[in-house]
Amino acid sequence: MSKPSAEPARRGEPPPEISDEDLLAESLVTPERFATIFDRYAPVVHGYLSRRVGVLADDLASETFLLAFRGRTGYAPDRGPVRAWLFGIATNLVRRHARDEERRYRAFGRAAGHLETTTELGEVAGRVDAHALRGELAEALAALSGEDRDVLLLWTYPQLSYAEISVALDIPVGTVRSRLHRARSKVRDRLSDRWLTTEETA
Amino acid sequence: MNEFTMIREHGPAPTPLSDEVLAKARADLLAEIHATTRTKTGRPSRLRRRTTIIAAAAAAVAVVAGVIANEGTRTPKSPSPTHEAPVLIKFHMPTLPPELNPVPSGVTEPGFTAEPGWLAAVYRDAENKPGEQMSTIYVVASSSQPGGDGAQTTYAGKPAVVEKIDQKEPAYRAVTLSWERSPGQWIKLTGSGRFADEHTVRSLAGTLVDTDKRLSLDISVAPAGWELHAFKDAAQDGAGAVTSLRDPRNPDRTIHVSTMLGLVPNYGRAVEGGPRDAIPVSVNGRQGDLVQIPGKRWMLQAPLPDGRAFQLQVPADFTQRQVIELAEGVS
Repeated sequence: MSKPSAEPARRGEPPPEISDEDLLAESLVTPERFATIFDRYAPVVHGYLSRRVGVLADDLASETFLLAFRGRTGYAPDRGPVRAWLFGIATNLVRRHARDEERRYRAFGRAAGHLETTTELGEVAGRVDAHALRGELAEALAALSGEDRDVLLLWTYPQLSYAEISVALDIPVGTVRSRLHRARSKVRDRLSDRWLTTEETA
Repeated sequence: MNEFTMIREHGPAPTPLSDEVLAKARADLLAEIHATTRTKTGRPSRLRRRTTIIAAAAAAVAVVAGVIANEGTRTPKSPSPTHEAPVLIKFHMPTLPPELNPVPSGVTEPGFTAEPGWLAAVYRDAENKPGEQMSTIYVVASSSQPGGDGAQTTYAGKPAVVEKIDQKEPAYRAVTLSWERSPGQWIKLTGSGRFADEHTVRSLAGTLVDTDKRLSLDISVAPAGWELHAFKDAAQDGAGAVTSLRDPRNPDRTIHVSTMLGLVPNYGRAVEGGPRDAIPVSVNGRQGDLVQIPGKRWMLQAPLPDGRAFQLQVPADFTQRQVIELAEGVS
């Protein structure tokens, strides 16, 4: 199985050959260097957060980097990459807003039930399919436990590996694997067979 | 289309990140960075920063339960208008999982982590050569049979499950052996990297010995019915351990204890929404500070006998006396 890494958006500085880990180490002596980590990851962290908690992501993304900066002395490079560490902090913040997240999924599902009218029969059929799928997906995500959802969405959105999710959530890799398996099964159980194939596996 | 593709393509879409939001977040970060630079030679800002992050980490720490406070003797002083009056009782932290004896060469002494229903000892790679998969051993103890879809086998004459992962990209190899070691105690022993071999894992399992040691950040008093829901070990310097208790009937209600390298100067200024008035308190004869954040929580810091300090966060509906009583149970 090939699992592509999420490509962090790079806005201007720094030269890509400087690793995140080196930047973070430099920031212990020269705190300003940490701004470069922000530049590399703010868009992808915001993207991840906003898929989970909507507009709250504007504040949580900022808070993620403030917490990361304040806690950078506690980052241990031997345990995993900076990227995983950042998404772990972001995920911890999402947990504070678990109810907002579940409300968001349910609202997303309800919105899927309101179809627009159109005169094109083919377009109607396509929209019905897409809306039905969105509704089922939203229900499935809302019904997951927080811990299963964390693993599933870290795998799905920023596409962290098992080992990176293990670092992000501070849980054993085997637990990552079992949670992902469980989350995937629950989502699959809630979705109609017509949507699913087995072309990719976790 | 599989589930992952479906979620990416048809799940909630990301909201746009406007230039204004990005600029504001960057400005906030730079303000923090510059504040750090300014205070570098002044008061010990490291402690303050560390305290803030510990508080945040504690507030966000993942949940789960195992041990429940159930030996009640004491009575509350003033009931909360919105929650049942907390009754403080004796509380026992769980014992640690059986330990590997001797500790295999090439790994560290164990660190510990707990989440709902399980407690794990983690023996990390002491060498961690760049470019090589880390070789780590996990010993996870739980009171219920762990899930999994490995192959049925036996270990020490008992039914067991062995599960193997051999992932090419990203490279990851692990072997897990799980079995009911004693009635009601399930063990999952996982070896990764150079320990990812069934024979090795079985050999390691043979070196497990029981221990009566308990988690390092102990709380000996807790509200009746509350449970341990998480523990995270300290960093090498002894700071950053977090023990969290939760009311299972109202999971938003939590108590967090975390360790720090020392007391935070001007504590009332460092807590959420500060500056706030800090009340001097005595905790086991040692001078601490107590701050109330109205409607949210109590914050208390006090020294530990070994020279470190701890911070305690307690819901606002506990009485001041109860907060100190909880603090006096921290060791």
